[in-house]
Amino acid sequence: MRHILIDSALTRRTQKRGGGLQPLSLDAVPIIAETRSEDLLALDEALGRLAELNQRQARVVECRYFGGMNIEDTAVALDMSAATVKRDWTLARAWLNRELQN
Amino acid sequence: MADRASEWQRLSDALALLIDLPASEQKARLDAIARGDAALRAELVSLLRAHDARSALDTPVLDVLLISQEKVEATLPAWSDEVIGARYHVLAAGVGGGMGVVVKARDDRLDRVVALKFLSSHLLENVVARERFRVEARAIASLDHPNVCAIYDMGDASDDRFFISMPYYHGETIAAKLARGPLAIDDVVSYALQAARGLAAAHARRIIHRDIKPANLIVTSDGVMKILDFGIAKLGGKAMTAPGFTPGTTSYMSPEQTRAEVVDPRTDVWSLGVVMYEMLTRVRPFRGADARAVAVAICEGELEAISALRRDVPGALERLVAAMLAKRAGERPATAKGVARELEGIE
Repeated sequence: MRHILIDSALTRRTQKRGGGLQPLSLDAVPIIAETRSEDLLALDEALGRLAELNQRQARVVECRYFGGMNIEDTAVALDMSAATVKRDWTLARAWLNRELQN
Repeated sequence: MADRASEWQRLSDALALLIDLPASEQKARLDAIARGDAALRAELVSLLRAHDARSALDTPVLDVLLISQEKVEATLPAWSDEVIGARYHVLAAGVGGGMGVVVKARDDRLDRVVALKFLSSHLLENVVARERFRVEARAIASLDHPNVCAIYDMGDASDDRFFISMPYYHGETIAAKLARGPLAIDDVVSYALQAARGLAAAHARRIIHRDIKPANLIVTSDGVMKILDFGIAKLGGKAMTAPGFTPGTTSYMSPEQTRAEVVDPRTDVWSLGVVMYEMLTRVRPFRGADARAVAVAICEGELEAISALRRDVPGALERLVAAMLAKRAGERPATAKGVARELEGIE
């Protein structure tokens, strides 16, 4: 569902910003994506490992990072309390940060 | 696995507690929690440090992607007349493909026209990714199957860009053919059979394509199908193929791919089934207003019978496509080889 989050969030973002932002051309998009590919690749793999340890924490990261959601949106999307989202996010962020540094 | 999960649960609880404490109290509490367990203490200290550090995660991925657009445009190389690897003369800039820029070039040494595919330098700074790519490229090069795009060579351009050279095919992709309408039954069977044979050869070497779609299937002017971009989808991993953002890409994903699950060769069987359905009817079997809706349709939507859309499709062909589009991988033909065998019966 990560792709879907990215996809829908981009659409939402583009709509939200309206005329303020040039719509991305189809050619530009894959190239833009590539510039981040190393980071994304590493993060995606780390996120996969986190999901094995704690599925819920990984989902929170998907919403926050890939979906661009804030704590409240994430809580609604995952049907969790905001406090639990915040805790999961903090812990997952620390864990992922450490993984990505290695 | 369960052990590691419960271990992380334990660490999570301790870490959550420590993070909330003022720095002055952390050390004493750390000692109290670790109770002489040096490994546990070190683990918690490293996590606390990671918590305090700045993180790429703090900026949602889309913000980063949008900001980097300008930068990318500025770093795109000037292609014309460039000589790459002291051997390849760029003839024309091509298009940005899934994972890189493709240019048409002349191989001065062997005096032939080739396509050079460049992989993003950012991706290739990652040693693991680069190595994985080399391994994959070698595996594909060793395939030597008429229905799989060959790889001639890999090399480094002077500025560290990494590229592979491959044949420059004269032909048309299935996507281009579809733009004109549905295909003749004979053509559908021929193209599907060739694609299934190419996939079967790859699967036999444990290479999964993961991104079978009309744009990755080219039919040369001699009517030979070549599967492009083999293994390259894998290099990017799940999130990488995602930022293509085009709903078109989602349309060919298997249900397990949309759920970001581990995939096996049957994901390619599914995607080929989608392409076959589209070649027969010109419409994609699972549609939606946006990628999310497409994914829902893929996972839950009922398949509209091909016979409802086109009358001259042989029953065996329709049944095969329907079987390839079974939501559960276990209910699909288990291998591309099996699909090829079925198609040989229809041919």
